[in-house]
Amino acid sequence: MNSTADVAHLRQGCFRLLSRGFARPGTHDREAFEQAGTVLDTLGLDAFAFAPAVWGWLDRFALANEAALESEYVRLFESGTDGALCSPMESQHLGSVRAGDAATIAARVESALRRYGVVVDDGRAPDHVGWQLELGARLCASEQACGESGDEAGVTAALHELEELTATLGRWVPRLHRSLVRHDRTGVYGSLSGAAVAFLIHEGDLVRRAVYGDGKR
Amino acid sequence: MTAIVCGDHLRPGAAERLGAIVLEGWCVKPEVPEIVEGDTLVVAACRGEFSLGPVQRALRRGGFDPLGVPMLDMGPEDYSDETRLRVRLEALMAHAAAFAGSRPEQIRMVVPERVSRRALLTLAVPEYRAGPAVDLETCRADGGCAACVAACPHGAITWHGGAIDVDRVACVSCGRCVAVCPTGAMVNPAYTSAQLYAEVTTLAAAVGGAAGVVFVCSRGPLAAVPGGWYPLVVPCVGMLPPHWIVAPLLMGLSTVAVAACSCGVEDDAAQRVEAVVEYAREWIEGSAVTGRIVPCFGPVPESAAPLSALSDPFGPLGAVAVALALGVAGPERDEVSPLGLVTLDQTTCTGCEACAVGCPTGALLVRRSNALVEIGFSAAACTACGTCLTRCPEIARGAITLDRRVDPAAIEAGFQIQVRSEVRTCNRCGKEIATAAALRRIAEALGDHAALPSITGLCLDCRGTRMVF
Repeated sequence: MNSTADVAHLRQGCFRLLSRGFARPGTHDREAFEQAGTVLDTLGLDAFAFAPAVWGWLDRFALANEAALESEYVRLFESGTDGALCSPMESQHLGSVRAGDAATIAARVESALRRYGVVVDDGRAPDHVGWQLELGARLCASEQACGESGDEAGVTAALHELEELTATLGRWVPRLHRSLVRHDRTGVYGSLSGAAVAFLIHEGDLVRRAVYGDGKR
Repeated sequence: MTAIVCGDHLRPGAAERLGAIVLEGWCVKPEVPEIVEGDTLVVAACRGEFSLGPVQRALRRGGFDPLGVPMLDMGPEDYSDETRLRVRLEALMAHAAAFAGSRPEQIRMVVPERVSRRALLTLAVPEYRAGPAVDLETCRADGGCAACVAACPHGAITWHGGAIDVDRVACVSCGRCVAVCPTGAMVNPAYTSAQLYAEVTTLAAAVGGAAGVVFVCSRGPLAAVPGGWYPLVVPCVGMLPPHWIVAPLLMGLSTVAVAACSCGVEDDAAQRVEAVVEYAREWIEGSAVTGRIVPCFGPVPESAAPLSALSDPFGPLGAVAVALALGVAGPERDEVSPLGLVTLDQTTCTGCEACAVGCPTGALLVRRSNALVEIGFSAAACTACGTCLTRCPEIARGAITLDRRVDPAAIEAGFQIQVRSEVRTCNRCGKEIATAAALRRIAEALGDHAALPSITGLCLDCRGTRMVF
């Protein structure tokens, strides 16, 4: 791992893997996650402080019962008469200040997703944590492409967007994590959100250091 | 518990003598062998021959939290004296065993120098250090405490609406916030009070009065510590409060020294160390010895209490334990003092209770009985954080003063009521209005204002009712 492009590649993989973790469980997840873990290992995931949290989640996922996981997903993220038990949507955590906040948040995230070629098409709201992590993956991909072509301005632009994304996610994902730890019966989603928090904290620090250097912010 | 030791400079057969796993070339190619079991590990690497990033990566691969694995930097003084090396390993094992885990926000990324604003396209393996983070359960920022904010020399800690926020990018892990936190809510997971206590206790049991400890800075190049001395690594020596320096003497070690700060990150570190050491020296009335590792202390006064009397000397109220064990008052009115004495003035205090509400340690408490409000103070819980001073609305009139000094007699005296004030009730409904002192103060401020009898004689509800009818 010699360049920020390599690191961006690894971070892209982490964003996407975590994003997939927050999607409804599918039949091929086990195999896909195992392969993703192997790729991340090859890319040097262990060099980063959040690695144990990601491995911990993947280990738990590998041992979990598929049917139990699916029903727990529905119980935690989808059901409930007055909303999900542990809402994975940003607007449910940060959008209750003024009328229309929720729609504004959803529109902002969807607009950003569209800019990076993501179409929200699976029934989940655009401000779902899974989509936002996917946006992070796209930003890292952009950073990687710019890095490989030596476009420092492009790298900086992607990093600035990542800074905003991680700062926003940092305001509510830890709360989602605490809620999941309390309610998750399988332990898989609690460890997934724990991995997401560890990764986002690390990502926020890395991006800020890369953009501003030490002690500027 | 296991120790992995790099065998590059050790004599053959060191593994048996040290009771450790000795591996050749470990510093160059660090790995955690599969035979390592359990959750406690200590690593000893050769000074100047290893990089932290790859070592941390190897530890992570081996299933260990790098912040919970103390690193022993071996130098010639250790290669030549394996007994000393074994004692150091044992002390660090005790330190590791007391590790209580880390949280993501306690991990601080240290970016190698070659990554800068103008070098975004290259990145080395990152290194991580332990950094402070707030425990929301015990933090009293909601009561107005901001001791850590005031102590941070880098502006990395801010107080927002009753919560503390640590900026990990601006933080350099100097440890000052940890040392001043009155409730122990600010925690650096690699240097907790329990870990330091375990390490010093083990050293004391192993070498007793035959050796001393040297507080050394974790951030700079680790200096060689000569034989007879054992390093005790802290985030930075500039953070040391005086009772941390005195505590090892009370725990059975003959001498304590503070190595000159090697990191040089904070300009005032050397000055602070000097002031703290001077305070500690005066406190124990020992004799000073100077040398390469400066300054050193002489033996403990004979009046000192035994080790058993000392509980958590490196914790937030460790100075109380040290003061009681020493039985000696600290130098008077010294800004370095780890403890304080609060005095409330009966004539100017209005009994508003703001000081007690804000006090993070409960040193100032309110008692209510028989229409009396009593505010008292316990020196055994005061860390001289000064939150009470910032909360008192009558400080300009001298209602409260903080005398920063250590007084074992005051500590032993326990909780003492300092201010008493009657509670006045509403002339109409009998509900509480305020303390008599507060109403006197209002009367003083209003003079002969027409509303005065209403304000001082009726409660808020009845005042409203009277105005309507």
